[in-house]
Amino acid sequence: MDKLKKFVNKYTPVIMLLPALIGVLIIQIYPSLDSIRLSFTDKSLLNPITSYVGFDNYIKALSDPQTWQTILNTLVFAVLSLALGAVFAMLVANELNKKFRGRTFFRAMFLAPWVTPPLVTSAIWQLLLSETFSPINGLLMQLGWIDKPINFLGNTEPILGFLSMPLISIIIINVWSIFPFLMVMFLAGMQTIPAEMIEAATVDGANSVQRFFKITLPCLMPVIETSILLEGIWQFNNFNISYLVTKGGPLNSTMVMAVDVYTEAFINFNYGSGATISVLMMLIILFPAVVYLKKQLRQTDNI
Amino acid sequence: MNKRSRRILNGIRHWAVMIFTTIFVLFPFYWMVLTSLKPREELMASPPVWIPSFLDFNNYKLVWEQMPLLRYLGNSLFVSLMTTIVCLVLATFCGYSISRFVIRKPQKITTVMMILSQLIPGTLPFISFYFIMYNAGLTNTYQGLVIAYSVWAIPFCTLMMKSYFSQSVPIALEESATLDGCSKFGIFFRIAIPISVPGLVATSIFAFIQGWNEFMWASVMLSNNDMKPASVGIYDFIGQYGANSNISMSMTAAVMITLPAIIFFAFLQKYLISGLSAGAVKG
Amino acid sequence: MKNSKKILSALLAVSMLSTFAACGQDDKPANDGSGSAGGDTGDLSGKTITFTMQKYGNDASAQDKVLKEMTEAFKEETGITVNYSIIDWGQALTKLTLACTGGEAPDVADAYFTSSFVTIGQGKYGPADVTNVFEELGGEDAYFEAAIDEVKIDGKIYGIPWRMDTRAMIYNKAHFEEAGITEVPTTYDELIEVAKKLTKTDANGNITRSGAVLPVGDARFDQGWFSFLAGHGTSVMNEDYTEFTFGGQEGIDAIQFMLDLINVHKVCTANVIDPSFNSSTEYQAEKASIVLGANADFMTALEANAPQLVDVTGSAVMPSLTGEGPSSVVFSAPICIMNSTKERAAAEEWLKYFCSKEGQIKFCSSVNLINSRKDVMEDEFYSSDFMKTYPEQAERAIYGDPAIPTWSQIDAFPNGPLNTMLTNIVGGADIQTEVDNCLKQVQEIYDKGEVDLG
Repeated sequence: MDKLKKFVNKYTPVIMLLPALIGVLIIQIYPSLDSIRLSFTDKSLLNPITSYVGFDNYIKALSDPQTWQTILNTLVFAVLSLALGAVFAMLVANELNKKFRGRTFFRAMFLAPWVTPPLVTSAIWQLLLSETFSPINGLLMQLGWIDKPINFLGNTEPILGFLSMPLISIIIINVWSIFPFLMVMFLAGMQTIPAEMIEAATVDGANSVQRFFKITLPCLMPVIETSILLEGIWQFNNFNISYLVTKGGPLNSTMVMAVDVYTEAFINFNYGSGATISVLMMLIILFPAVVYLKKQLRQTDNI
Repeated sequence: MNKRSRRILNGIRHWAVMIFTTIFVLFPFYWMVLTSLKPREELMASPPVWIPSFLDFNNYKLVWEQMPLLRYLGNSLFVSLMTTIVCLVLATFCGYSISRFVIRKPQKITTVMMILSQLIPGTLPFISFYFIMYNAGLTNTYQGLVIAYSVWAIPFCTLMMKSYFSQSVPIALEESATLDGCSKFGIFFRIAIPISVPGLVATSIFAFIQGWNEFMWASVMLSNNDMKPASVGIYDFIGQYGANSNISMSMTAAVMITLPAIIFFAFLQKYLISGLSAGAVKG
Repeated sequence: MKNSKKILSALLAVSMLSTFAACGQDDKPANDGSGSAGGDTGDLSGKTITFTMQKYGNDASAQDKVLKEMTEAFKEETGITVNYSIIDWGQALTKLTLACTGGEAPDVADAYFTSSFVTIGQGKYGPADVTNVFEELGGEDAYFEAAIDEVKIDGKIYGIPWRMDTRAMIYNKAHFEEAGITEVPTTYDELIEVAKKLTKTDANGNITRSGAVLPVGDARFDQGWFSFLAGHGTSVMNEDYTEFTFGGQEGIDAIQFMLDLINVHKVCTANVIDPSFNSSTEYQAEKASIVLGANADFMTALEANAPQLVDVTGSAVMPSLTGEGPSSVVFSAPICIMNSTKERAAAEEWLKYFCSKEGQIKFCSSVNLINSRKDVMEDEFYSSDFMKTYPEQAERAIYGDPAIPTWSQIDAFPNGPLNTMLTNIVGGADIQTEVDNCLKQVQEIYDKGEVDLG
């Protein structure tokens, strides 16, 4: 019995790791590796014979200008959603971390977009942004600020070359649905900062802005890094908003890579070229992931 | 004077943020509720009606009769709670192990794996994964849902718990406990866990909502109507021709499915705050 | 502290157990794989089959109710239990695809894209040959031709056609009266003339009420275009599906006609390209007087969203170039027996029961669907003022989905070549360039499919 105890204590770190690691390997890593393999084949459900075609799928995808447009859309969508969402979430979390009347109420209320099923989110925002039924347009017209309804989801004129009204619209919808998640993560991080540190800074005469940048932000860094990286990856892979609100349209102005993969695989039954786009997505997102990993693993060496 | 004006400025900023966020967050919900309560003649008016001539609660009665709301919510609650428990237990162990024993190889490999698992978009692995679950006889079972959801949430929860542990739990405290003869598991339960309660709550909210909102896997994997969670059940009202074909019923169903979740989290919020004070006392 | 440890480990244990306990309990009952077709029903008593169906109708509980009644009556009659489940449209395609590639499959399924699924299943999974059942149910004479096209591959029938979807013209009688219009337009010229009278604009020239809107939702133009192709006397492909014919002069005219409604005659709002635009809701908001193609379920949505318009809404056969001949398309979908079934005989019994005239009248009238069986469409349910247009329109319609395995790719939404071409053109691109480009792409997809099959 004592031996067992010793054994358990010695291998505790590994015992703690294993269940999660095994689950992730079987359920996530293995299927992902399988996708990479598929990207070198011409697998199509309509064709019983599958053969390896080398880099053909990649050459085909990258020589199509539409792929590049989609990559650009995806990056713009992910980066802007994340940047706006994170700054907004930080701002709100910082205010919610103060003591004031009704704090519980606000905290609960701001979570609401997060627990709204994606299907509902898209249905309600479609209504809010449709040219005909939009209450926003209705209000602005009644106030006389505009004389023609704004075409939030239908105006395809480019703005600054890489943006368009529909893309901006789906980014705003996305910020609405992702900021509560970041807010909760930041808030939880802020609450684990020892109160003495903040008090000490206050005594030293730091104002609230200085306190935020000198104490809160640095202390939050581990939490910020992790949640931003993962949220960034998820937004890069985000499928729901574009697919459910605009189906990638109009004129592909909101087409993102995840929707492309979905249509290739599940509608066109071309698993090979769907997998190719998946791998391209992985290669792009690998860059920030490696930077994060390097930092994480180096940090760990220092301890 | 300076101090006072600064305080006023802070107050203004505070309430400006609160008010703006409230409008941004609540307006879609306001419109959702309004649409569900408008008399049908005013639904499609253009420009839209802001204040309906009367409130029509009949939709709620109809949806209640047509949709097994309690069963949907019960299914969702069960699956999400199980997901939260399984995921949190595994992720907390794993995250703690990484945060304390980082220099070792297994921990490093695990960190890399956790990140890698997030990189490939879920659409394609979905198919291989489906067949793994099908061959294991887990399609059409709650277990199939819980396993999928918890493992999908594990990488994030692990890395997040690791961050919270390395941010908030002083290693010195643990070392003194080791000297007191505590086992590693003992230190984990007695020192690390209590201090990290806010982080624990935050990640559990994540795991819970992930299970609550997911609809693609549930919809593909389940074929038994009695097991449907709410996120799939909402399709009952969106149907073949989209939400537009019966907008007031879609919105009513949406309100009835979303509201319980919001209320549930209102209660959890209190716990988040009490978790904070507990942590603060010890820290 | 000790407590929290205990609780946690207990929870861990419980969750582990409940997670893995089910691995063994899901063993399916072993069936004697009697694949014999037909046979008398006596020995089928006690069998159980599974049946999946997509979601239909606007009332969430209607379909469940009618299926419950029908399966109970069927059990009474034959002793066969039918476990049905209703699938939402969001993942229906994925579910069917998985069922056809060896995933969990029902014994009997409500399918579409029949030809694709037969190809995907490779004779092992997917829809099975049910020519015998089809003959027993009345054969080719009992069904509309476009419906048979959907299920017939190399002379074999792979499913029993049931629901049908054709698009008729919807118009607002009050608007007609107000504009002094007494006759429903039957030709395109009449349509334009009428629509001009119905259209209203504000001081800036913006359209506030469209005389006639294109049938668009989610910025999807293909299905409306098929109708205009038919109205111009052509179609996407030729009769035997060997050649694409939409690039001919009539095809170009059909596209030009759609554009002219927006740009030249200014009777349809240019906002059709907005993904949130929907011609039905435009009509419900009285921002459109005529919808150029809507399905038979239109009325249910109208009752739900704008009941004040129910009494002033009429339906009519779609106009065409000459006022005669085809002016719309029909889509049809079959109920299939899956190759993977172990209860073929029981499945056949259910198929015969559900797809019989009586079965189809009962089901389709509950969820407001029109039907592929001619004798079903003669039922009095389809004789109401609004509904009676639909059987007429079905007689004057061509197929909507050519029965080729690659059709789902060619007509893929949102990004298939046809939809891309139409969206680009409506967005302002040159018609001829887009059509040529599209022809090249569809031919490529088509050829690939042909080679693979051979």
